[in-house]
Amino acid sequence: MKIKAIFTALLMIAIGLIWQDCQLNPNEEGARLYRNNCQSCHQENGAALKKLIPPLAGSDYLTTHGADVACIIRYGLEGPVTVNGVTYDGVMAGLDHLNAVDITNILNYINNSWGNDLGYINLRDVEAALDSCKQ
Amino acid sequence: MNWNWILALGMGLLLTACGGNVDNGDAIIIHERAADGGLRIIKDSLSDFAFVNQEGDSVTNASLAGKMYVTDFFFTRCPSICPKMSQQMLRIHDKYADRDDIVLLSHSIDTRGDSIPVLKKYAEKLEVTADRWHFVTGDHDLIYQMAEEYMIAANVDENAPGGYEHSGIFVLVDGQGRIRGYCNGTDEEAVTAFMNDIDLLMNED
Repeated sequence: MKIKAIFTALLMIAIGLIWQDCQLNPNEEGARLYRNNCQSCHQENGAALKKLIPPLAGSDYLTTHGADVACIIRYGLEGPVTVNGVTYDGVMAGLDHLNAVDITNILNYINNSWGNDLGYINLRDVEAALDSCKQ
Repeated sequence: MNWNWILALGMGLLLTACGGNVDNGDAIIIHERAADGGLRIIKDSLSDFAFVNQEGDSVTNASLAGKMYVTDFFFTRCPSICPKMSQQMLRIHDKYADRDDIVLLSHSIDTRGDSIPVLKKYAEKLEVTADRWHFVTGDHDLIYQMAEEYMIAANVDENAPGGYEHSGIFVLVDGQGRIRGYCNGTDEEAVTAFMNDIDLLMNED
């Protein structure tokens, strides 16, 4: 009985810790998708790589483009783009294996990480954006 | 209350909580010391090579003689591991920016796409210059032959992202053209250890 009580207490602590961890990462699915699809270029912290890759952290482009960024994630981007006053002229490959839900999760992760505080975009807006740029 | 039921539920929660953390598990660290604590000689010679860098200048085993160099294989349109490799290569670049006994040598495996002007543009975007970091192109077969010499995997593969498949390994070559170290160039910690190896090699007499 005593052992069970101790065991249960430990279990409760473990659950508590994990629950707390989940609270700190409200968009764990977005984080996972980011790691697997975006991180090798945009880095763990969303920082710029010199003039090769634009930043996601503190990016004015994200502020001004909202759900339209979904189109870049799905179809990629080629040619000059200005972020925080710096022009980046490269190629980002599209990720056409991601569906609208994945893209929404990624956007919400990016928009609310590394000091970004851009609120949450809903799936409807992402779907509408993807419809408008269908290729 | 059934304790076992609570335990089972708890275990289930633990297993599913927050989803799986999938990490890049392919961190290979090839990192061995000789008996005296110095760097081993992994390969004692390499074939002669002649490539052209982003300035159109020739880069050969003779032009690099006497300098140590860190080398890798990449291509500028690589959508997978190359940005990470460039980021880590930049750390090495920055650490030894004021030393003239070491240079960086990145071979493009996309000999069709990565012309000299494309390589120059890439170097400019990384804000580095050819006196510190050569981005080279040249004869397709010779590039792939050198990849083999350095014991790095590099293949043309239509199914790979960007059309080429290659490993993210960095190789350390000493001033006598001998391979002295390897690391996984996409792994920050491995590159930190690798820079310690470079320091060791610099202090070798």
